[in-house]
Amino acid sequence: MKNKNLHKIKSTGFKAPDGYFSSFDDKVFNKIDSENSLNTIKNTGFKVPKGYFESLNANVLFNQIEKRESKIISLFNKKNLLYLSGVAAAILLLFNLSLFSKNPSFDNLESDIVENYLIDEYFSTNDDIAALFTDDEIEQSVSIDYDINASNIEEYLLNNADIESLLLE
Amino acid sequence: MKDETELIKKLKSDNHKNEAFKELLELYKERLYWHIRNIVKSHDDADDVLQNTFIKIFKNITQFKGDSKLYSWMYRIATNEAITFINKKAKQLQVSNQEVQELAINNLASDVYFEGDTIQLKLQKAIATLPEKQQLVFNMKYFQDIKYSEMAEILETSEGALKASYHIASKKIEAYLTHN
Repeated sequence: MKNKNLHKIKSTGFKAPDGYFSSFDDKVFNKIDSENSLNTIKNTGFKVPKGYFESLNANVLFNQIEKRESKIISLFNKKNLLYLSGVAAAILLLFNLSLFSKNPSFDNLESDIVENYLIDEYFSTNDDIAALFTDDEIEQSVSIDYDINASNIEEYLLNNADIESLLLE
Repeated sequence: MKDETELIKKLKSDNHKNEAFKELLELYKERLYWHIRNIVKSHDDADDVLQNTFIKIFKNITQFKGDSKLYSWMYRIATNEAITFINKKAKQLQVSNQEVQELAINNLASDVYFEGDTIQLKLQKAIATLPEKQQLVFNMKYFQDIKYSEMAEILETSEGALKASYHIASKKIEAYLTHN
């Protein structure tokens, strides 16, 4: 009676497609071949000139080494001297220039330079400029009394405006 | 045993590798297929896993040291490949491994490569309720009749533990079949 139900079942019920196992070997070999395409490349394709290795004997190599060893390069040749004197001159010039010599002070600042700096670098809007002044200062400059009378206007127009073109329009 | 040593030697050689590999395929492909099929359930998945298994065997045969039998080494690769396959599928579908198996079993009823009756389908459902190790032990013992000594090598577990696992697994399955 033990395991009665279980013992009735003899197989899983799974089946494989017809001919699956007979074609399986080829499938695996194809996959291995496609993954190993690198293995099919046996050499790099580089060639050496004919007789290269025959000519490459020990004597030739020793001759080459001796030739290379005999060449001595002097430290104080023309090229090195020129190069070093150039570097020395550059260092001297650096110390003579005013770059490191003095600290800037407000006394020797030119007002034009300050003005241009402020215009170019500092203020991007009118609000930035306004922030520099107190309210009183702003009110003073706004309430300037201009001396505008008839004779002044007439004189200005006579000197500056093109009255004829105005009349034509 | 002598044959196996000879086969391994050939598999590791450059000249006879392909020929020996064909022999290996002939000897083990069906056994490994059914082992994998019992784990992953569908034929297409079993086919994928079996191909990967043999490619892994082909690539790693040089590293086979002979500490265990070639047969158990291959079974171990097949088992790992099948479990990795299920884990990957679970990750892709963002579900648990158990849910992946349940999905596979639900598809069996309409699978052309499943010809089991209702009781065989019920058995598959019962197996799916077991923990992974018990499933493996049950499938290997009940359907493939693998010896405990060999199973111990494949699953790297003691024979005693495997016997206990099988006993518990068949009890659980019996209970499932009776009550469902």
